[in-house]
Amino acid sequence: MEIKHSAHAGTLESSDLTVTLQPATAGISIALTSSVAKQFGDQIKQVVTVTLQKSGIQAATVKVNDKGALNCTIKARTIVAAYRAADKTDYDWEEINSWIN
Amino acid sequence: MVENKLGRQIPEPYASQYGVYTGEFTHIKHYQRAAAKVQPVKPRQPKLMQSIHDAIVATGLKDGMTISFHHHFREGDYVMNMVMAEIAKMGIKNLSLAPSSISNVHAPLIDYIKSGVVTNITSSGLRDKLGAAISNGIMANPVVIRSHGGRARAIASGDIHIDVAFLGAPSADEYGNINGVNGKATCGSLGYAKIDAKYADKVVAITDTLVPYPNTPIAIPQTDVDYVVQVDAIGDPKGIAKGAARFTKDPKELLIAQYAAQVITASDYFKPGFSFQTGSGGSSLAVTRYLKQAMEKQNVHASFALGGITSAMVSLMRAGLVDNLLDVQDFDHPSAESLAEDPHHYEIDAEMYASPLSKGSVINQLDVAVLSALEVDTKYNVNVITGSDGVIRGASGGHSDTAAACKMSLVIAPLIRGRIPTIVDDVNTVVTPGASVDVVVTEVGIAINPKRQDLMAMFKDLNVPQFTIQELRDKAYAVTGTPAKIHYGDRPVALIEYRDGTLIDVVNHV
Amino acid sequence: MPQLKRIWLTINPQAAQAWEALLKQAGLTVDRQVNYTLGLFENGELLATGSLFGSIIKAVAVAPTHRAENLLTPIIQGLLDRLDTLQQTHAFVYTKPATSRYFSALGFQNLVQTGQISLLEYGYPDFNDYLSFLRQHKRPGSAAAIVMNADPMTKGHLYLIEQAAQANPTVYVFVLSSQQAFFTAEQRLAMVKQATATLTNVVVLPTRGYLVSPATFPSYFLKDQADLNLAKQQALVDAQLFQYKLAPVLQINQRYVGTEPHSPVTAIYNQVLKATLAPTLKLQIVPRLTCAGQVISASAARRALQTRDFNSLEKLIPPTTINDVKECYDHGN
Repeated sequence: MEIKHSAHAGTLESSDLTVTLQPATAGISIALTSSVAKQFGDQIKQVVTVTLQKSGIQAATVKVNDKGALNCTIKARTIVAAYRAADKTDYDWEEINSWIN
Repeated sequence: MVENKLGRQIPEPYASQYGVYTGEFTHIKHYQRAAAKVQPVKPRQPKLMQSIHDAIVATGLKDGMTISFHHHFREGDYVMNMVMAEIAKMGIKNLSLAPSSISNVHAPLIDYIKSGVVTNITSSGLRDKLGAAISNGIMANPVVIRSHGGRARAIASGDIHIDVAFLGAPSADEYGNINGVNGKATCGSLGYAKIDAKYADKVVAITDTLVPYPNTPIAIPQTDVDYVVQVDAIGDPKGIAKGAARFTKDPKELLIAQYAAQVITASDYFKPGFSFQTGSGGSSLAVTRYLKQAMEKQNVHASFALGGITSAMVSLMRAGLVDNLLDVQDFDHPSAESLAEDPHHYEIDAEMYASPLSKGSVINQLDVAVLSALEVDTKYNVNVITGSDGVIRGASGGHSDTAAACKMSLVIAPLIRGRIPTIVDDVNTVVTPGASVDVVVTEVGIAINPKRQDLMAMFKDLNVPQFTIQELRDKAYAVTGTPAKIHYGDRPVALIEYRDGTLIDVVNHV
Repeated sequence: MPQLKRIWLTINPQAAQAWEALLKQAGLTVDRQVNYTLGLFENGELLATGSLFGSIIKAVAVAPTHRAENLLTPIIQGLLDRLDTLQQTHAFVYTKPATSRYFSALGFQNLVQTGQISLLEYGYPDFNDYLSFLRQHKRPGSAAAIVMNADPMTKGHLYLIEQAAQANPTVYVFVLSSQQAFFTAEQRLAMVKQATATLTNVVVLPTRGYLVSPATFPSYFLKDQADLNLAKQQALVDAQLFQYKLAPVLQINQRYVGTEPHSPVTAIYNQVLKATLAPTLKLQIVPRLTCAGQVISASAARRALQTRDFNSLEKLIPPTTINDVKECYDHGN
């Protein structure tokens, strides 16, 4: 999958996050703001990076605005943002299920 | 660096100066009680001052002295900001501030710290902006965090010597008789202020409701008060005492409360004449409600309920289920009204409530206490002062006092808050040692401290899921992930005093 | 649970009354210049509200009795959802410094803060994207800047640009991206580019809402109805954003404006600009070009267009753009 344009997913509610993806030339860079950055900042970045890579995205400028979301939520929002940014709606559930847990 | 009994590192010179924690009751020794220096008042000598400024001048307040306030007005308090503004204007510097606690509304203190008006602080807690500023290191000297009982002890033993106490008074007469139940902005009990009045050299009563002599009931007597000042408003009544809190609908809080009530009612302590203390949080209020149902059903009356009084406790007394309320502070308006009306609702001071060095405080007579927590670790140590990010934002309160003294302490808390686990490997800051904590109650079940084998036997057949504390931690981490350790700097910003005056932990800057 | 509902201010006077009462209770002046309003209701009582004006979040208030219940989040989320359905991925919020931290906590980024006003933004493309865009158009060395609406581009505008172009190695001309104009933002940008095509040291750029926009300087768009005291505070927001955030990126050390004999709001803007920019930036105030004793203004050009007075129009509009102006106008009507 490739990022064609900017897209985002998620809300500002607590225990949720917003993930914004913008096209980039190389690599995944993440700007994170999080209410739990001190305790979980590295884990959040790791989850977003792995989820994007599993979705086949190698390059993206990512903004994450986290309100204490759990990993499952972070994965879900990241996948949705990626599909939106790639203009794809044909979710391959089997494929996603194979790596999401 | 000295390691205390809980393995916490206490830096010098503080370790030598205060001593380090060696156990719950190992440091209880006889002492000479401190006393105030008294400037007698002669007949026909007035106490009423024209302004706060005049009162400050009359007290002889000078650089380097210790001043105090009470926190009964909570977020509605105008007094501390009003007095501090005048002190700053007068150019007095280098003061030690020793209020019973500090609220969000006192954020202007940040400026007085920066300008050198305030150079030392001791308090039960720090909130919000001030807590964050102090955690970031704006003070050269660390704040000393004391429990309510610990503060009463420190004042009675002379560790804190208050030169001038500025006491907000919901009503007062010109000769300094004060109570918290009449006036424009009532707070009910003045339990924490009573200690300041008794031990401070100079006491200034600041009121917005001046009544004809004598102002009764007398909570703080004229014999403890030097000056009286009338101002337009001592506080915002809405911030001082809210209406009765709404009963929580949060299923997690309700489940925690239900489990806690089951633990209490299944215990041997739950019998006619038992006593209890519950707090003012959502779960805690719900515990009181569930307890009420069980008391009615099983016809078990309590001899007294203690503490921070809430309308939930008042309703138990009105229903004839609790014989007496022993009241050091009121958390809501109906409680303050009850204190005014009901002779079995009795005002007590902080020393009687919880001091470890009094001739026996009420908590020593207490059966069951329900306490909250920001964090509990696998050693049952409890943190109620620093957030999971290491920033000071809570208050010690009566937590360590009550937990140590009562017969069964319950610490109630959700397993996780958002992504933050409550049950952790090590709490950021120890306020109450694990030795004082008997049962941890969460929404997934309870953990009984193994040192209480008697409770383990007592609750063998209890219909509440039971886990080890390690299992509870694992359940929390399974949802949130294992949190990274907070990186602190090397400069102490707060010393956490145990109730006996030794240091149980230190908070460094972040 | 409080319910989130749209408030139709113009057709529901009862709700509008409750809305006004809540704003006053929260210490805000009632600003009816909004086009979408949400309310959080519980048992018929309005607990919190927030509005949109374009992509600007404003008139946000929570009842004092319901503070600390996190009612701000659903309001702001609701407004962002609305922008989402309009395919707007960016929002500004104009608020008091005391409340800006609540927005920061929600992920809004602070752009500028004066003693009275905080301006924050949310979403994308954001200010950093705009700065990257500017860096791409940066010419070497120091430069002058002019900010104009050019609605439409007049001989007066061109004269001001030429004055700056003669005295400076580079001139950046910022054309307002606001859609609250006679001509669209794209049309105005094209006009300025065309009129300055021969001036090789002039770079024409869009403001994308970061200069003299309904977000940075709402009073500018109220003109006659503007509260001049408020305009002064807002002008400071705009001036500081320019001075501290924009100017350094393009090495701008001078800003050119025309004298302002007619519009009090613009006059105040120039005044504040002069006071704020000194001493790091120099403000050059150039006397306005006149035609038959009258200063040339865009509003005069618009009047001439509306009355189809092409004789007058030709005296006001540069020959390079006159046909485009007529065409755009005819198409628009």
